[in-house]
Amino acid sequence: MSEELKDKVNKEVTTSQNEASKDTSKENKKQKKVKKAKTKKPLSNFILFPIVLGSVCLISAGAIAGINYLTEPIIARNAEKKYLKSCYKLLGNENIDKTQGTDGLSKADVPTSASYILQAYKVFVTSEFASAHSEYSDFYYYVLQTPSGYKGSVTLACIIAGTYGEDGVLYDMMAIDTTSEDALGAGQLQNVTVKPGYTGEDGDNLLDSGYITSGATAKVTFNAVDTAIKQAIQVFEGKIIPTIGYQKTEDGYEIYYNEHSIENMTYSSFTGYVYIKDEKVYNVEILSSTNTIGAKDNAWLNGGSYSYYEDMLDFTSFSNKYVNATDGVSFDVFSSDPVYVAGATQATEGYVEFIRSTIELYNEHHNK
Amino acid sequence: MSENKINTADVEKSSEVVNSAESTQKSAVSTKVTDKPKKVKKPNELLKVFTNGIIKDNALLVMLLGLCPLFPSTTSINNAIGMSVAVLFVLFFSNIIISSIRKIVPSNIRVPVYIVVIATLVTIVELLMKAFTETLYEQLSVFISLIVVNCIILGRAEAFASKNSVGKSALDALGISIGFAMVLLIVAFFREVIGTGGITFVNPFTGDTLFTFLPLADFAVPVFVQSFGGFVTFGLVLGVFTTITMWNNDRKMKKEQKEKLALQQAKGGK
Repeated sequence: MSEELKDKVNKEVTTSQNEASKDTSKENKKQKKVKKAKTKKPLSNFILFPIVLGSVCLISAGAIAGINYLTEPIIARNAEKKYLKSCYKLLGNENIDKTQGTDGLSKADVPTSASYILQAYKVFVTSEFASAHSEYSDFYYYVLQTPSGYKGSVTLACIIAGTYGEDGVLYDMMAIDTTSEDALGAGQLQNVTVKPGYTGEDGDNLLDSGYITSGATAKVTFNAVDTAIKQAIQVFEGKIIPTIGYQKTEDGYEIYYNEHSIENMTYSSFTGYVYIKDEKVYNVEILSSTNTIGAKDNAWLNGGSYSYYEDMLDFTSFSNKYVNATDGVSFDVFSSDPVYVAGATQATEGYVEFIRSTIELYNEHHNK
Repeated sequence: MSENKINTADVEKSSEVVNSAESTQKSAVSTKVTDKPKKVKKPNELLKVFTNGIIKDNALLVMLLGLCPLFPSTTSINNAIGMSVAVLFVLFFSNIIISSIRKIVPSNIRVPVYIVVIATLVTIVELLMKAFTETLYEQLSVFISLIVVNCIILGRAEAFASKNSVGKSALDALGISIGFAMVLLIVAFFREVIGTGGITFVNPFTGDTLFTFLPLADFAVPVFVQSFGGFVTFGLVLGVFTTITMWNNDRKMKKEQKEKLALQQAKGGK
């Protein structure tokens, strides 16, 4: 009995000793860890602070970039809608023919030097409205951002009416956004009525004299408004010509403005935009042509017709070589002799020359 | 006998060892318990965190924080709702984020980190409002950006979120935001009714007027929708709130005094 008891006790003793030693070893390990942590040199503040701040900034930037990516197209669409609303307000919703263009408007080109013009649209008006205003054959809608006035700039909407490319007057205007120009003039802008038929020429006043009652600060704002409207009228009248060369990049296409005169035809010249991407010509947009046979203001490379000569002359070989809006026409194609359209030799050579000189502009722009 | 003696001595020894081992185990357990005391979450405590923000620690009426956006955003109930939602979003998420990173951020650079977090959230709100509630964004304009420096947000981040758990911080944010919204709506209601003669509701997503009810339009006092009206209305609301609080405190004190007196009388009688 006593031996059994001894064994039992010994067993209990050894197990309890083992457990106790296990616990103590655990505690020792813990203490070692704490000691290690204590003896471990903490990260210097010069390293730790930038790491923490940098990581926080990176995560924040990522979050903002993500939200911006999602909201940017919606914000742009809202701005466009806002512009359209202002146009409808100025001309009257019922006077716009919404069956044409996009809701009655189609985007118009603006020379890059016209820095106050944010957007330009050709407005399609109803036949009733057109006949009631027969003195104007074209209506263009401009969204303007004025130069700096008293404190900031004003976003304006205005309609210029007249004969496009020749003569235009201010039909009506309104302020869209005056928040950055927090001045007396901005407040007055909400209530002004413009002088009908303002031409923008020297000696003509945008508003009836004596209207501005709030002194010099308001006048500064109105001068800025006047400057922007004058520019819109000049663009409408075709007085602001883009500078020859690179204009902008749109949907991946680099757009170049160019002018060309056909040497052998003294009275023939034309101006236009050439769309280039990856050393290929995709589109030629003729803006104006002076008696150039076959031009007729068509974007011919974009599948447009080659004027009335298309029906009369052999246009097929010319078309096969140069007209390809989908895949573009490689630069190399223009280096060889042009394919002449019988009966329009000078004009076809002129077109090819026009593109060749634009390719040179492209090479200059890219330092090639 | 001698064997028995030895045996008993051994047993005593061994039992001592066993006891000591047990005691070390117990002590180890007890140290574990003392190291990590069990947190007993009281539902009342969480409810208190939430309700405190609404009335007892109301940001506008008690702490007088965040008054800057109060005046421009209470010109109409629509604007007040917009500002309240913006503050709720920023406060809720800033409290959650700051509370969850409180152990990582060194205390020396905690304020710049808080500002970056808050500014990010405000920029997100701004972009979302610009995209989806443009009319409201135009109405509130610069005051949305100014939420970055709103004392309520930074105050709660520093005073509460940086010291408490995520759950508590979220509840605190909700309570404070509701309290803020409540005051904004009260002030906006009076300002709009007195200033315009009624109430106009605009759909913040489309900008279309949902309904206009202006029975007192002829008696409108337009100055109430200007800054002056904001100060006057808020002053009156603050006055009423302070009076009610004081009256309530006074009543409580009197009740306590009565109870004390009754207790003393009872003791004296014995």
